[in-house]
Amino acid sequence: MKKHLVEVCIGTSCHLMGAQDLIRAVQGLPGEKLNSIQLKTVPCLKSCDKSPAVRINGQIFAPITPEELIKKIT
Amino acid sequence: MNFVVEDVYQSMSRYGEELCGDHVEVLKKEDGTILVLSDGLGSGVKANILATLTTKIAIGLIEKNLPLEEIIETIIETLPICEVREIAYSTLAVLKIYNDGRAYLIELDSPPAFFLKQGKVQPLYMKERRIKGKLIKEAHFKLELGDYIFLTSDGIIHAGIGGLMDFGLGWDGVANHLEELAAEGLSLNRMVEKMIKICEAYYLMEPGDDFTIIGARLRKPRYLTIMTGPPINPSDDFIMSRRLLEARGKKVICGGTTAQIFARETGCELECTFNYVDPDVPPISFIEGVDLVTEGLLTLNRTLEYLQRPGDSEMPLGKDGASLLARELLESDEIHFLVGRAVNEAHQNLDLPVNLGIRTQVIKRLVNTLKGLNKKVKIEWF
Repeated sequence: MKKHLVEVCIGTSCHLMGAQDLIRAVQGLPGEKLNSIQLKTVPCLKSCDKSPAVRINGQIFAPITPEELIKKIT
Repeated sequence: MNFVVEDVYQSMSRYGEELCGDHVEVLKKEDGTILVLSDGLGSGVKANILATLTTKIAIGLIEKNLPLEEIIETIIETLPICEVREIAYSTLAVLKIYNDGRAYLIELDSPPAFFLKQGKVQPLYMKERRIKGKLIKEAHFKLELGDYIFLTSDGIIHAGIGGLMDFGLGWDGVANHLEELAAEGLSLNRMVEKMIKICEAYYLMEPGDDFTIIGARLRKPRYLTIMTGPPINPSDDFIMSRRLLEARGKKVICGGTTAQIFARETGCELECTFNYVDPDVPPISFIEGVDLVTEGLLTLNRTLEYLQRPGDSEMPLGKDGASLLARELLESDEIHFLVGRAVNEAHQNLDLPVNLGIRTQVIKRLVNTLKGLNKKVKIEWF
């Protein structure tokens, strides 16, 4: 199965706007689903004005809520 | 080769007293460091005032290069008289260590200093003379790499009276402990900290006197260069990155975009983590050859908070980016900031207080704080 590459921006704006919640949401997925995801952090996705930002398989989504993120990767 | 003088001191008040009756002043000059220790008569507020006055007067006159006689005379004549005991009294120890190792020690009723050479306490040849009826002891000696010198108040020598020992630890007892600590290969910071804990233990955690220990030694200067913020002119990206890459000593990057610029310009790989040691401080990242890579604004502000904690001489022990950065700064002697002034417009909309949100302001406050901690600081703007 092809893994989703989920890159969460941990820059200043994204940190303040809830990057940790996005990371926690992904980490909280059940084992099988979590195995299909490669979770990474990146220093800045250049979307500070729409933070928090995530790049999923190369496409940036910003702003995004934990619920929206989970929906996109499951 | 010139070295720097590393000095650490710690005091503890008599049990039940809020103010310490010992006082220390440190003056860093281009050619060396001057350390002044005074122990005021008694304990509490009066002792604190006497000791503070003594050290402040002494350091002020030493700074003006006045002769020793004048300094001692002024101190004797200026101190307020205690209403109860009808005497004005506090001890004084002044130690000047030049960056080339030459040292000059003056003691006025202070316990003799502890000079450690190759791990063993050695006697210092003290010349004696009288000024205004007071016995002054002086020594000229040379401090070399690996040597230590410790000044103490008598609360250290008497540690244990009223506690574990009838007559206190004594000068020889303190010397033995210092030799043991030196043999453990501890940092000067840890040696002073441990000696304070040892004395506290001899007093059974209820010290009958204020006590203070100052430790000093020579060492090679430690350099730190910090790159933070993208340059206004993108053509400076390369110059700024090279400057960090070629800097001597430790290297730090503060800022996600700054880290990306450095990685791009030098071809190094940037590796990020999601380990939130402290929920308020974004995680650190890694770049080979760089000692610490942190987020920018929030980490810098938190670092500033750590450095400005009043009365806290201890290093922050956390593993978050700000604690790690504060430790690097505290352990360095010369700090070079490479600061990019490009403004991230998005940061201006984050509802951060103005002085937290503007990098140049944070850096300026950090620089002032570091100068107050006797660090040599240089800023280069891009």
